[in-house]
Amino acid sequence: MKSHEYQNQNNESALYGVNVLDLSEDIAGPFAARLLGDFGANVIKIERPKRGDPQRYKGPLFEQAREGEQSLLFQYLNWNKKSIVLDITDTSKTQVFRKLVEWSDIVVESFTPGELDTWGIGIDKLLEWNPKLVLVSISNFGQTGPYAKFKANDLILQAMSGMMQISGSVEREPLRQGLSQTYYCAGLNAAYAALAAYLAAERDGVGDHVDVSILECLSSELVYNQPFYTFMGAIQGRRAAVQDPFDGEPIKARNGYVSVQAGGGAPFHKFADLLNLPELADPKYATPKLRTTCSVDLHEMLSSRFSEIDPHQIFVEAAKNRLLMGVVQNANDLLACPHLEARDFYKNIHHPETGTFKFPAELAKLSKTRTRINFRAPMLNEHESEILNDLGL
Amino acid sequence: MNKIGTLPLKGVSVLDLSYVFAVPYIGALLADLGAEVIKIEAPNRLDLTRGMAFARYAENEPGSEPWNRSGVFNVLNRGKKSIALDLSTEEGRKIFFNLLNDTDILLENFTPRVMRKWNMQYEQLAKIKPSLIMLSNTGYGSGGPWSEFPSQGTTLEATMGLTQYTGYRDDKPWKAGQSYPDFLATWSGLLAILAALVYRKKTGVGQWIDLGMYQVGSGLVAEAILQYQLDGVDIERTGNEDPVNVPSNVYRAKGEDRWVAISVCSDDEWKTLTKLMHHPGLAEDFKYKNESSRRANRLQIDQIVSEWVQDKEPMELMMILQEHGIACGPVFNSRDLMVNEQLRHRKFYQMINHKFGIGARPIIGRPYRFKNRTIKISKPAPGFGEDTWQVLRDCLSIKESVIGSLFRHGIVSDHPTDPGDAQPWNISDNIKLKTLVEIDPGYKKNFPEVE
Repeated sequence: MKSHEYQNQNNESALYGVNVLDLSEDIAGPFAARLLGDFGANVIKIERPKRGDPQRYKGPLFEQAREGEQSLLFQYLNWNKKSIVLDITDTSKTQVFRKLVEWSDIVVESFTPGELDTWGIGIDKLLEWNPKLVLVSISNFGQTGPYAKFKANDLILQAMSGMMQISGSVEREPLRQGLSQTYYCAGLNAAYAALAAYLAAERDGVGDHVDVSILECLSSELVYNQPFYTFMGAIQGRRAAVQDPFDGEPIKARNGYVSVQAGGGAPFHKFADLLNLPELADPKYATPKLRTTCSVDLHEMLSSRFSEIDPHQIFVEAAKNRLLMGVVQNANDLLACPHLEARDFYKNIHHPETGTFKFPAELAKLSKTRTRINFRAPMLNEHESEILNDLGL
Repeated sequence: MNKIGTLPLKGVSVLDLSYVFAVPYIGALLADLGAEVIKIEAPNRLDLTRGMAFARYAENEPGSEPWNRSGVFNVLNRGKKSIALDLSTEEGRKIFFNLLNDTDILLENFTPRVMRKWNMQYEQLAKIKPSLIMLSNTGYGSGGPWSEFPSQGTTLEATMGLTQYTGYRDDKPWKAGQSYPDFLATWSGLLAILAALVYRKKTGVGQWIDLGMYQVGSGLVAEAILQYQLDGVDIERTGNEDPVNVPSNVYRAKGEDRWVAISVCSDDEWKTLTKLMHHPGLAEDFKYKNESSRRANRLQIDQIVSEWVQDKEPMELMMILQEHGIACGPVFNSRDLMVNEQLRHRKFYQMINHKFGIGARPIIGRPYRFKNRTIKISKPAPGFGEDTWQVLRDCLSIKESVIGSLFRHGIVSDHPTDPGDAQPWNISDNIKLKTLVEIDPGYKKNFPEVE
């Protein structure tokens, strides 16, 4: 099959000519495969018969569209891919699947550990068909081990990873990160690990099985916390009931929240000028330890002042004075952000079923091989005849 | 037992000028993947993970060389060599440019102003080395109205949009985790670097990677950005609740501050749970029979589950529910992770021997295993400037007498000139605040075996 049939228009793409077969579903795997597509790889997505990727039915949903083509999140996770429906659990259909595996440099999957083996298409079989292949498997806890078949979701993974132990208030239950951070983290890790294996296979002809654990992606973040234990036996807990307000925890401002952080380039007393609170210059507020002891009063002082201030305005003002501040932004703020606009962060993508929406489009900017959205997410089985044609079937 | 394939980045040379969390972690992972990584440190300015803000010392004792005894530094900089080189001097930069000749990847996170002043921007370096792949990490990226703004993990987390969607129901937004934006930058950076390497293998051409942390996070709140465009509704903060599944929450279990997460994702699972709770009548109760009725009665259900969980041993509960096909797991703390049998099976923590009185410590590895390649931590993090002599002599063939002179003039160093005042961590304050749960005196017994 001629892989150039699927090449992206522009030759200046980092992964030009790299072929990716995406068997995965939901968020992590599809995100990883899409990222490779953004860098220019040719990505074919195999979807299960009848309904395809379950993500097609998960929100946000544009309900006026046809069922299975309503999910905007599906569109976000699956642009730069072509879709073919194939029952890979059925070995009589293996011919098409085998040809696709032979075409591939990288295969991404996220089935329960062991499923590929029960279907006769585990790593040994895939490497037999294509010895240079890189199979990337994404699972909750890894392909093997006592927890390999455990059920989990975002909440359970955050709990078991160690993340929730340090998140939220000591006075309340542990707190998870909102939305689907877990799966995006796994997707990012799987994508870069896939490329590392691909680079190696290109050089020495040895394919590989990259076995990604979603849980471990989160546990990998505990670079600061785990050493408390491993270097001195200290077990960390959640955030204190009242904290130094200059340690970043959100503070209510007029119609919003801000985050203030001491320890930046400018000296602390500059906050006194910025906020027109001369008391802040008092040495009794000079260090984190001192501020923690009077954090209740400090909090009141700051809340009262911030309630009179527009969060975005003070954020820009602080930055100009080299003071560290953040502003809690929501979707509306992000969509209207002048900086994201200037960075060309969004792309309007049209889909025949849902119309046009603005999508976050670019993670990092590369000077020679910019990431690109070459085409929208596919409709279910949209490219079956193209793909079969090119396979000579 | 060594596996059949070679390391992915064998033969690749990395110069790491970066400091703190995000980019040094990139350097560490590139080293794990087989690259040779040289960290350039400033003689007169310690990386914050070596001292001051983030350093926590082995046994909480700074010792005579505290900058070499910091936990987080040793995780984020494993696998690297260190030279202490004063880039603010012309002689220092001359050495840097010489090192550049043999460098494939350059990592930095200086403020752009500094790189401009030093004539070390990509355009200039690319003239010397066209195949160079250079990654520059800043808060907001180069270009755009906010590009010169200072930034740091917590404040960025808010600005990126992540904080808005994290928090207890009816409460303010909360930060979660620790420096989460830093890791998004680490992984996005690695992805971009590896893609650039693939491109370079084919074309011989390098490039610049402009990694602005702000937009990486914004890309991961896509659901909210899309929902808002659909109907003007901003997704609300609902703590640990699930929009569809009930019960799905963390529940207090037996023991001091022990919690278990449980998620019931179908009517069948609910039936199973009610049997396990010895409440079979509940399954037939129309109030809870299907997803939507359970959502309507979330509080009552959480109350029932909570009462059942409160005297249960977390690990036993996990085993029972998992055996019955229900997603369940305890909130693990750092000790739990250290002894966890799944993480042991995966060899997620690797025992590494350290000098400076630290000894053998488990260091966080990577969240993936390669069947055919032995990816692992190759050496401990370096002492401050400990490879300065060796690198100057062996990589740059500088005569020993010249090296001696460079040391005498402070262009290079093997000792920080301004280490500041290293203090032990205030344990009692943190115990009082409950941000420290306990000190485990037998913690070393929980370490995995040295391989």
